[in-house]
Order: sequence, then C-alpha cells, then structure tokens
Amino acid sequence: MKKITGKMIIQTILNYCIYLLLLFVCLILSVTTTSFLSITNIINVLLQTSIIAVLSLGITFVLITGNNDLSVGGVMAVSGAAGIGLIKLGGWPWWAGMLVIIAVAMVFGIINGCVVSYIKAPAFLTTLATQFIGRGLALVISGGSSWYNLPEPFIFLSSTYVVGIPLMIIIVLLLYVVFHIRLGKTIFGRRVYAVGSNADSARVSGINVSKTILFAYMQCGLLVGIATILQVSRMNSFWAAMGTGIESQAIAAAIIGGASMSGGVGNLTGTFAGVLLMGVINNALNLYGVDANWQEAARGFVIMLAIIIDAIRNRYNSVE
Amino acid sequence: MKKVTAIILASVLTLVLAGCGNQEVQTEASVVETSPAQEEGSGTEEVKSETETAEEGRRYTFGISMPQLDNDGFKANLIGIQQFAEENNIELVVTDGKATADTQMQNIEDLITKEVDALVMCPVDSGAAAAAVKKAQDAGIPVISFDRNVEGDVLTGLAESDNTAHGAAAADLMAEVAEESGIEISDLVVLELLGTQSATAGLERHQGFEGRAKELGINIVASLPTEFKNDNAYSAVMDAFQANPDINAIFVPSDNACYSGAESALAQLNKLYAAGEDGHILITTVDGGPTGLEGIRNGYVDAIAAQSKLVMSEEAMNMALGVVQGETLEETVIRIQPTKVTKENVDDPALWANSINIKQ
Repeated sequence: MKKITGKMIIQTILNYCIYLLLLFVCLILSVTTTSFLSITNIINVLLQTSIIAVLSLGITFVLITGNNDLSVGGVMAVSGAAGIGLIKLGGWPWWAGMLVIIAVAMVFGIINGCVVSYIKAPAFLTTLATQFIGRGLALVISGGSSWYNLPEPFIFLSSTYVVGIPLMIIIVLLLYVVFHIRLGKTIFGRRVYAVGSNADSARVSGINVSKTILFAYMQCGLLVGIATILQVSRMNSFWAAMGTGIESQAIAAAIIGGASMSGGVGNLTGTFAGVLLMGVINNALNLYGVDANWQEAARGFVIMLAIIIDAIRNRYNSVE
Repeated sequence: MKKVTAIILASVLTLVLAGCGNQEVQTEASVVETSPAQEEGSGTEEVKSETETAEEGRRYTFGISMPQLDNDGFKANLIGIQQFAEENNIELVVTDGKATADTQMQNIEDLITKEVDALVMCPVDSGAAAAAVKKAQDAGIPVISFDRNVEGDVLTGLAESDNTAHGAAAADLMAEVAEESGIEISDLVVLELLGTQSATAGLERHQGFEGRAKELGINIVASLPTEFKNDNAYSAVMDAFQANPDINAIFVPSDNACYSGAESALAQLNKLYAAGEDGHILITTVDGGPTGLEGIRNGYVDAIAAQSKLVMSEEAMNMALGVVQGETLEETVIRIQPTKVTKENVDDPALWANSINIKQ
C-alpha cells in the first residue's frame, strides 16, 4: 500500500484541474447570478456548445495522433453550401442533401489525411490550405448568399425534445459515449495513442501509422459533416460565412481539456469539460453583462490560465 | 483508475449542474420577486440599486444584439441606443455578434435566459438570424430590428434606412450642387459606382439614384461595380476615366465603404480638386461616415445623403419601449429618411459620424 504524500495530492489536483476549474466557475456563477443555475440556461449552454463539442471530438483524435486540423470551419462552409445548395437550388430531397454534406466533409478529411500521412506534409499547413479551399469553394457555390428555411427534417433535429432535453444535446452526448469507447476500448483507439506517443515504435510494433492518421482525419471529416448538419438545423439556414473561426475554439477546447499539441495525450471527458468550460465562460460574460469589448480579452485570459495550468502539470508529471 | 475517477467526477458535475439547478431555481425565483435589487450579478448591482430610487414604475431591461462593433456605423447605432436608454431610464445589456451569425445566436439565447423585456438587434445575416428571433418571440420577448431586416416575418418591428430615398436624395443633391456652381444639369457626365447588388442597401441606392437621375435628366455614362470595397472603387474610377475622360461627376453609394478608394484614384489621375477649383469633379455620396465628412471638409465631396443612424436607433428603441408598455405599434416598419449634408452642416453633432467622435 502506497503512502499518500503531498506530491500525490498536488498531482491529482493538477490532473483534474480542468474539472475543478469548471466546477469552480459553475459554483461562482450559481452563487452570483440568478439565471445561471436554471434548467433553461443549462440546456442553453449545452445547445450553444453542441456544434463545437462535435468538432472538438473529431479534433481530439487528430491531436492525439500528433497532428492538427485547422480546416474544420472551411469544410463546414463548403459541405453546407454543397448540401443545402442542392436542396435549395437543385430540388434534391433532404436526405440526399444531408448525405452530400457528410460526403463532402469526409472527402476533405480524406484529402487532409492522405496529404499529411502519405505525402508527409506538415498538418498545420495542409489543413490551413484545405480551410482556404473549403471557404473559397463555399463562396463559389453559394455566391456569398445565405439560404433560409430548410426542409422539415432539419427543423425536426433542432426543435425536438426528448423528455425535456433537446434532441441535439442527446445526439452530442451519444456521439461522445460512442467515441469515448472507440478511443478507450478499441484497437483503433490504442493505435491512435501509439502513433501519437511514438510513431517509430508504433511502426516497429506493426501498426500502419499512415493508415491510422488517415482514419483519424476521415473520422474528423465525418464529425464535421454531422456538426454542419446540426449547425444549419440550429440556425434553420445556411450562410456562406458559417464556421468562421470555429476551428480555433474547437482546438482550444480540446487542448484546455488536456489533449496535447505534440500528440499521445488526451481524452474525451477532458475535451467535453474543455468545451463546457468555454461555453460556460461565454454564457457567464453575457449573463454578467460584461462590456462586449472586454469579452474577447476575458476569454483569452481564461484560456491562458488553463494552458498555464496544463504546462505546470506536464512539467510536474515529467519530473517524476 | 484515473479513468474511473474522471468519469465519477464528470458525472458528479453533471449532477451538480442538472440536479441542484432545479431546486435552487425555485427558491431563488421567489427571492427575485420580493427583492429584485439584491439578486443579479455583481456587474449590474450598481445599476440595479438605482431601480429602487426611480420614482415611477419598474425599470425595463433591453437586450441589444449588435452584429459587430468594429464598424463606425454600428458604433453610431449603439450610441443612439445608449442615448435613448439614458433618457428613458432603460437598462441595457449589450452583446457583440463579432460579425458571426452563430455568435449572435448565442448572444440572443443568453439575452433570452437573462429574461430581458425586449430585444433590439441588427442581424449579422438576415436569414441565419431568423431562428434566434423566433426563439425570443416564443419566449415572449418582442424583437425590434434596425438597419437590416430579418427573413421569415418574425420581427415585431423594423427601423431601417429608406435606401431608395437615399439614392434619390444623392441625385437631387447632385443637381442642386451643379445648379449652384453654374453647370447645366444636361452637361453632367456621371460615373455611378455600384454597391453590392445582392444586398438591399446596394440595390435600392442604385435604383433610387438611377430613377431620380432619369427624372432630372442627368446623364449616367457608366455604372461600375465596387461590391462596397475601396480597392474595387479605385479600379472602377481609373477604368471609367480611361473610357470617358469627360466624366465630371461621381456618385458613391457608400462613402464609409468605398469613397477613399475613389478619391485615391482621382489623385492618381491628377483630377482631385476641391470645390471651386478648376477641374473639380462633383461628388455626391450616401452614408455620411467619417471619411465622407472628411471629404466634405476637404472640399472634394460636395454633398452627402447621410443615413440618420441616431434617429434610426431612437425609432427602434421607441418601438421596443412602446411594445413593452403594452401599446400596439401603428407602423411596424419605419423607413428612415436621409439627412442632407453639405459644407454648411458638416460639423452638426447630430450627424452620426460626429457622434462617434464626441463619444471617443
């Protein structure tokens, strides 16, 4: 039996810092505002974070393989433009539009994956390029306009409640459960960690590194497609600027949740907590009525705090 | 082991979030009813305490959803809103959509949660805002939009510039200025710059200008697209003078967005002369932004059909106040008429571009 030392306590606290921080912020909010701890506001926060939650989910896998994906916002725009454009201008049925959205997003995932894993181009630049391609094509397809009023099934997605909980939140939670198991309990999940921790030793032990990275990107594409469908449903419209800057929020949430930019580390409970923390902070700034010009800075400050704590934790763990 | 602890922690958190929420809401809700001044966040406490001293009725809280705040025009709108709020003892919660439609939706949802009495907004995207507006209406919050319409007939009221009237006024001003400086209207050779034709502002200003120009007998020799961008306006002016060296008047559909590009091109062409100098190109614009007023002060711009942004904000707030006080709106759409700006009134503090300078 091990003795409980002070160091162990500090380590445990640091390891669960993100959860403690989230809890702390929630506590402060529920004491100081009346509107925070209400069912409507909690559902509100979960709904607001649902799109980023799905994107962060895909990005976490990519981050764990030691890569990055900056393209998600641009891919959202182009897949939405293609799918909703075919519905609105081409008269395609809703399900075909949804399939096109998923397909386009996955094609972009495959392009990212192939270029990064087989051609060995830097992930940062590759996905920056696909972001531009996606955003540009979205403008080409839509001509910069927005399409309002989508077919009934899209509205169904955003307006249905199951025992008081919006269907969208249930979908997001289900995705997290499924992918949590996929990351933690399947061979693919173990390969993702192995590739990110040390690609060479992963290769030696018989893992197809390139294929694993490709799969991670393809899966990220799939999730971007789902996020796009949720986003257009939530807003009941497509607009050419959709997803602008969303990648930075999704990546920040995953990293706040403990995923490492250098790979090998990360998990989905952490990512989910990171997403919630960002969402709660946004919500709090609005509930407090913080001057709009200060909000961005406040948000950056909290991200900085989380990252500093993370860096201290990493150093503490590696000293051991 | 770590994972198990993590899961336990996460579920505890969810319980805290979900479970406690229910009970505390009920208790806190009853507190709110008895003493509204004590609850609420620290940030608003100060303002709230004024509520008690206010003699009559309760103080309304309006949610303001701005599309973006890094733009002079919207800054002026916000100043107009704040002025009205101050005069009428209304508390404001101002949010910034950062030119992103989904950020604006989140802002509006938070304002709904905050249970504001009315929402006064301007959409980032007319289509994408409809879902959020509907949510607010479903929550019983009246929504008034200014400057831009929202699709789907979901608004309680709208106050926007009458862009056709602005375009027409710019044509009238062009004729007036020509007359004053002794140029026959029939001698005007006009370059018309076009705004973004897929947006109502661009299209209606064009229609207004072109229509009135025809009535007055003004000769438009070229109408070139700028998409409301300075670099496009620059190339358009350069190209137009290549094709028509006789051009002696220019209509700029938004001085705020694309006048400085046109001015640079004139300077490049050696055709930038102030009013009264030989070879002066007569320029009228719409908008009345800081660059436009600067142009008038320098003498390069002759007249502006300026947007009455402060009036627009006032009208929108007035509609919202009327609705929350239980009045029925006589008009649900108010179309704001332009303010004519020339050298005489360019320093009038009621002009929106001057109001932002005073504030800063």
